[in-house]
Amino acid sequence: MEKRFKKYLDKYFLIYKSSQETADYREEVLATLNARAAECRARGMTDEGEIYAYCIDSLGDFPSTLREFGFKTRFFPDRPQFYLALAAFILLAVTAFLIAGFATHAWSKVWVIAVCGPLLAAGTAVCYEAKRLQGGKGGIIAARLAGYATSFLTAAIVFLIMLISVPGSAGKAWAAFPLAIIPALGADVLITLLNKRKGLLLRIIAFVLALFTMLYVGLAGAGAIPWHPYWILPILGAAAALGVLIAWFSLKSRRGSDN
Amino acid sequence: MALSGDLLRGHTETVILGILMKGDSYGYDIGKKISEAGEGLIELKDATIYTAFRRMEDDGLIRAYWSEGEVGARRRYYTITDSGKIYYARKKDEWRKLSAILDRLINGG
Repeated sequence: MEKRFKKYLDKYFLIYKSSQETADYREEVLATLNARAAECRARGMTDEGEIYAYCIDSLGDFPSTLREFGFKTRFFPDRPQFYLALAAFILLAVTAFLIAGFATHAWSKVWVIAVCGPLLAAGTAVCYEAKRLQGGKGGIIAARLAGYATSFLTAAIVFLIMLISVPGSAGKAWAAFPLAIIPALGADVLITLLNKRKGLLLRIIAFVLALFTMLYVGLAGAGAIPWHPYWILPILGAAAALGVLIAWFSLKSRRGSDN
Repeated sequence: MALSGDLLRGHTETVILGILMKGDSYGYDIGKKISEAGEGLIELKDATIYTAFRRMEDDGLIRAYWSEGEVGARRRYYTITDSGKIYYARKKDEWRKLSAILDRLINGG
């Protein structure tokens, strides 16, 4: 139970800079929660879920109290996963830029991928901040919406850049939009993963399918690759998604048997 | 029938100071004492109590210190300061006058 209480408190304290003041308050609230849980058990309550819900409800509007206390917020998150995710995003963009460049030799066009990478990384950081600042379920929704908005905004920027810099490219520039689905779903996967939310498998599968399909539609639509025989890409995507599904359940069953 | 916590609004600090006048105490215990004295009709959320603590600490009415609890857990105790005692006496007097007026107004005495 104490572990659950700590997890609950960490969720809200995460956005504040560590200080003696925050540590004291966190310890004080944790002691109260533990004392209340012990009293519930002494009164004969046995359902741990019910005890947890009662204790949390007794706290009242805890996030508002923290805001009211005026603790200093962190400017940068302190979780290493966050920076790893950002680095992965940029690496992905650079890799995509190099692959697309070497495959098509259209270096004058594929540079947009390298621009989009850092833009999306920054977008993801904003999404993460939106979640942190808002907190709770509403924060997750805000982060997801910000992720989709950032991706499609980036696509719109790419579309406009191409229209302006490459005259007569309107017939190809539209490809930026199907390609934007990839980072949008990628950001959704990251947000789900970083915040340990449900629905991760479904999101990974959607991301893998979109990665292959939209890459095919986008690149072929832009004339960077021929439609035939690259139709194999969506099929490879379906196979990869199936692979993810099998790996997921085999990992889950292995964990289950280990326990 | 549970009474709204709003009824205590404006008096939370005085109520807490009243409890601390009898001796040092910690958040959970104070909340429990309020709940028991309210005969189950009045219940204050922890957030309200901690906000009041914070305000009173800032105003110098109470002081906090850490101490081992009865079962060994570390607890943050609160003690009333001299300014707190003066403030409490003033608020108590205000309440005595106000309650007499309200009683006359509501009961028509």
